[in-house]
Amino acid sequence: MNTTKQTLDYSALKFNQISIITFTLLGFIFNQPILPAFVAVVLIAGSIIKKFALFKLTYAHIIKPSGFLKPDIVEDSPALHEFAQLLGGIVLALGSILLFNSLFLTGWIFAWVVIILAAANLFFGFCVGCFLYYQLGKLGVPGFRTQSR
Amino acid sequence: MFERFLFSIILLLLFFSAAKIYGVYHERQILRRPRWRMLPDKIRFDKPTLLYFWTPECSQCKPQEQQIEKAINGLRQSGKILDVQKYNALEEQKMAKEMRVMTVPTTVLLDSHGAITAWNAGLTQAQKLVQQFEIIQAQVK
Repeated sequence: MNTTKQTLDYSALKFNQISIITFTLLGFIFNQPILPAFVAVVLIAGSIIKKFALFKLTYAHIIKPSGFLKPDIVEDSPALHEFAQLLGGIVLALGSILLFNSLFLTGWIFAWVVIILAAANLFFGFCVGCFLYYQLGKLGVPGFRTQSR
Repeated sequence: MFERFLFSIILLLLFFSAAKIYGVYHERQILRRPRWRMLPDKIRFDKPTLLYFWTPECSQCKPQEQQIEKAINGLRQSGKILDVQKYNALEEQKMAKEMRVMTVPTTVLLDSHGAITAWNAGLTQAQKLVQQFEIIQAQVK
């Protein structure tokens, strides 16, 4: 049985969310689809290969040493957060493809969905994934309900 | 560009306002419920109690437990006691429904008479839990 406790730096997650919101929002304000596309690439690549997680690397090598954000280490599994990040990256990627194909309304709606969900987590501690998992578990959907720990 | 900037500000303000209004509305709905309806029989209390609803799949539940632990330790240092009762929201669905649990983690603070004094959906920091506890203490005095 694996008893190794996994830990996560929540400040890194917060910085990740701030970066996602900032770049995507700037992309909307300046009408530059390249910015949400950039965020999408960072999120997807960073989920697959950790050394490409640009925002987290920026936190680790610049933000944390500078003391701007203090580490907030908690016992948590990174898997679900990485999944949420991958999902956000996919939604942004889809939005970017729509934007580059001149489907501006739908494309920016996709981008705003990511902004709003990241903001909900960052400012209110509200985890949409947790909400969906719980609601689907209540409905008895297979795969969303496991034994209690 | 200026129109987009303005639109962004308005949309974000609407989002934060809607979230705040919904949170206040939902909390008031719970706090207004008659005391006899509030709690299932299994809950016993004689001191401020924190009901903590979790599920195994919830990624924020472990950090929430750490925040609760931090709050308890902080209060203990000043001689105050907060009882915590954990409930798997999927196994205790009736209680979760009674407490209007929509997501996990959810924390519900009861005073020593069993009245709900605070309701938090999502990850709640230790500092906020302690502040909510202090409000109960201030009302007792």
